[in-house]
Amino acid sequence: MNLRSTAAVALLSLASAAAGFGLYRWWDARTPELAPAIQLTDLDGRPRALSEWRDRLLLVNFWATWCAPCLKEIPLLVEAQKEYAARGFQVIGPAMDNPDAVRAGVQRLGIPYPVMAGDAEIAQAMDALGDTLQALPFSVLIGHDGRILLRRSGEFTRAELIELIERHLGS
Amino acid sequence: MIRAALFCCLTLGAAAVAAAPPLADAPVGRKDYLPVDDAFQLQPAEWRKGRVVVSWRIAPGYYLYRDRLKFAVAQPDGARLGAPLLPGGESYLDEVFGQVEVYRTELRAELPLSPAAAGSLRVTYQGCADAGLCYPPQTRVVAVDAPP
Repeated sequence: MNLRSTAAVALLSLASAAAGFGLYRWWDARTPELAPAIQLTDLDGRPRALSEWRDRLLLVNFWATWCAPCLKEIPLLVEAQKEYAARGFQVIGPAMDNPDAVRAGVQRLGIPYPVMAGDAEIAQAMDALGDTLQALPFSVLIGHDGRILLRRSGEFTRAELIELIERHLGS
Repeated sequence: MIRAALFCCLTLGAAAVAAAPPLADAPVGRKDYLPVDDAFQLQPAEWRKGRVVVSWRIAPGYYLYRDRLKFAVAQPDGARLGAPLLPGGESYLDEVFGQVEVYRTELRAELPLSPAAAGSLRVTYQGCADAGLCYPPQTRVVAVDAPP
């Protein structure tokens, strides 16, 4: 094998490796990861695991009573819960706040979906679900198969939320 | 033949790399928010006219709530801090909390403290981004050297 052929084979190997790596990244980025096993404490002191809602399209919405964008967003979530529950959509609302303030907030806002409260426990759950800012609101959409479909820091608009739910319930 | 194969592989590789989103998940609809310590940059404490000045640089599009600021002496034990002197903030109509006072761009709080009580202060603050995100209350311990 002469020098030219050797160089061509080496280049071909490099190009194949690049193609393989590119395809791996492409495939990996399009395969959503499984949500971790997380357990949170609800307002009655009962442990609630995310796997409880495994067969539903689950929106985990982290919030707090001191967070104005969270309180602004919650009526949209309440409306979506009522509108899409029969089609398999479920919201849960872990709050980074003290349970008494959260109970009052749940009553005032008429939240019909399960709500949890805590401090370190909630921060750890946010971290486990891929939050990097520790800021609120933070939402994670989990598919029927337990895979994370979306992470979102900041509030949803009505149009964004409805488009998201329709897209994933429709598929 | 080899050239054609090489060209195909390189093209395929480049296309696949270009098409893939970043490995660290780029969620749909996410804005680029700053980490809390970049949004609200707490500066070292300094003495000014017999008072300790604690100040923040606040990134554009972010604000701190006036009524969520708290100051206390961390060290030495038993030292007392006078009532903080805060500048007038911007009146802001919050859709949820109503009329509130907030600080943008910069905040300088002046704290009456005896020079003998130099040590450290515990500072608590909370703020949000205009784009619709709030950070939990932050507490930091700020060193206060003896005045020059």
